[in-house]
Amino acid sequence: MASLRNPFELILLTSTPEERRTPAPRAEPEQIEACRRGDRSALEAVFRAHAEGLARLLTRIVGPSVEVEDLLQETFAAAITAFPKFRGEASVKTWLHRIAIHVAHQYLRRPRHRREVELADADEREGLAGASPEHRELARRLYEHVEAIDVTKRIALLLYVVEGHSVDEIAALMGAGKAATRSRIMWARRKLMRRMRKDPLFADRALFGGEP
Amino acid sequence: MSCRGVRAWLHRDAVSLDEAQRLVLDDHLVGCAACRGDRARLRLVREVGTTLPVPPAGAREYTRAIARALLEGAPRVEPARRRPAWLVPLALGAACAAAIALVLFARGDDAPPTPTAVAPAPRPSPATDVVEDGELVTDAGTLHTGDAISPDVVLRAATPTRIRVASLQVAIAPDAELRWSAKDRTLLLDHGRVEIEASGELARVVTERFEIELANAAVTVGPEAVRVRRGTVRVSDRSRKLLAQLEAGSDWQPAEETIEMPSDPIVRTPHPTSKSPAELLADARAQFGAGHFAEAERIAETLLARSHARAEQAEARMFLADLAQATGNLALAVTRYEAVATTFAELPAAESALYAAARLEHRRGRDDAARTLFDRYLERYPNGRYVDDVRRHRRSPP
Repeated sequence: MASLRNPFELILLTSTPEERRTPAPRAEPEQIEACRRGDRSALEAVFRAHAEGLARLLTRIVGPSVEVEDLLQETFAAAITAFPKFRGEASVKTWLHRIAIHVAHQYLRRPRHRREVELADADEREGLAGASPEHRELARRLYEHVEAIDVTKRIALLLYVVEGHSVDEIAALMGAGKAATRSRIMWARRKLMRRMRKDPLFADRALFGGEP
Repeated sequence: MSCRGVRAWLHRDAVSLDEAQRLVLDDHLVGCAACRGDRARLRLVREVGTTLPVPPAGAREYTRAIARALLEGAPRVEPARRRPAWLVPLALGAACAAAIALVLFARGDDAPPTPTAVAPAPRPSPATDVVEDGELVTDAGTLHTGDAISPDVVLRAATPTRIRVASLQVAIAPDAELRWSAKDRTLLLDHGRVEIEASGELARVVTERFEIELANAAVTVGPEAVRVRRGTVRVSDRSRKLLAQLEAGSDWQPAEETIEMPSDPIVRTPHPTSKSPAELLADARAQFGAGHFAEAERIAETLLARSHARAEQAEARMFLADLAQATGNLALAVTRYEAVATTFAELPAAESALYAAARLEHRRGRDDAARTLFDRYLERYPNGRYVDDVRRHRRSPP
């Protein structure tokens, strides 16, 4: 099987987009009301239910970074402040994801050297420690290329390609229009592809990309 | 179909396309090497992105993030309910002054009204948040005199610096670290000392152990003390329980131990012996999350008495240290963190504990002790997960 040359093919076929297939933990109206009042146990219960999903989203946006725990904390802190204004028009999951995207956006806008993220040794510290050498190298190089894209466009692209969201969903999550979102994705993809084509590590991928 | 027509499908699974789309895409890919290559690369982006590991549900990282968010981002009570009674006469006075000003101007001859006749003063816009004198270091660079201050940005003063945020004039001592939340009109003092002149609107200053409300007052605030130079100030703990109302000329210091007891009575039943250490720890965290700190501590101690596994012991002791920090007993928290770092040196918890102890000492203003701990961290974990942060703090001026 030609596709087995790609070490991630099995994961790809079986797991994407897994979050969208995972039913969102539903918060009861009483629980939401308690969160609005600032009830700590209700807030903690809601956060616990969504922590892993949010960490995954943040990791995918910022890359294999040691900052994810801090970003998660920022997301929760922002949610605590914003909960009294939560009207329940979207699900809690969508609402928290929107906050997390905003937090990640703010974080990525900081200058890189200030972000205390050194992908070069992040894998030794955590995150990629258990991954194969090839995966480590791919992740590191990929996020180096992703870093070259404007933050807003980058997030739109990652939500589209990695998270598997539709343009409409991304527009809603990022508070942007559909046309703008489509344009961001297009420009980001164009830039990423251009960079990846020039990178021997990814240029070679075209060899096994022939399977339609 | 052209490359443009199939571009939107390139990153998608075959199963997520309908039959017609799949056929069109397959036809196109057979004859287009560029799209085949892009398709492979986009799928690789997704593969790499979706396989980035994250801690499993219930992991310590999540508990820590939640606990710290709950401590930092305590929900805001409705402003109307929070407005202190002593502000009412102040507001009435301001209203009277405004009325008198209007009457005087109405009776004036031909003198045109000047802008100063308009009362009350409009709420300062964010553009009024500026560095008035000195320099502040932020993650995004250095702010100089006249630069605008963005909200929610960590500001560190390298030299004595004066800023104006909303209705507050703030003189920042060197090495102090703070953030300004324009939305809540709150100054979050992470470290060091500030002198504040407040005029007009109600504002808050929040430290790790207490917070103060002031409207028309002058105060000096540090992590361990408040001195009121003018006006009246309310001091409360982090759960907004009033601790003191201070008049001009008075000083206040937080008690060494300000364990926050729950408002609802705890039924102290013996903890079921059948529970596993993991369940006990989960119970302790639930109590912690609910603000029942004494009960959380009791459960954690039960766990310590029952479990002899080192990893569980370390986890429980870390929890007790977190608890001490949350309840404002920073000295005890440092002691507990240091004990974990020493006793369980072979476990990953030791690294977090040593880092936490150093950060706490830094926040308490005990720079020598903090420096020693940061040095010990760098020596023991040269590639540790907090190493960048430790180096940054190590470089900051004493």
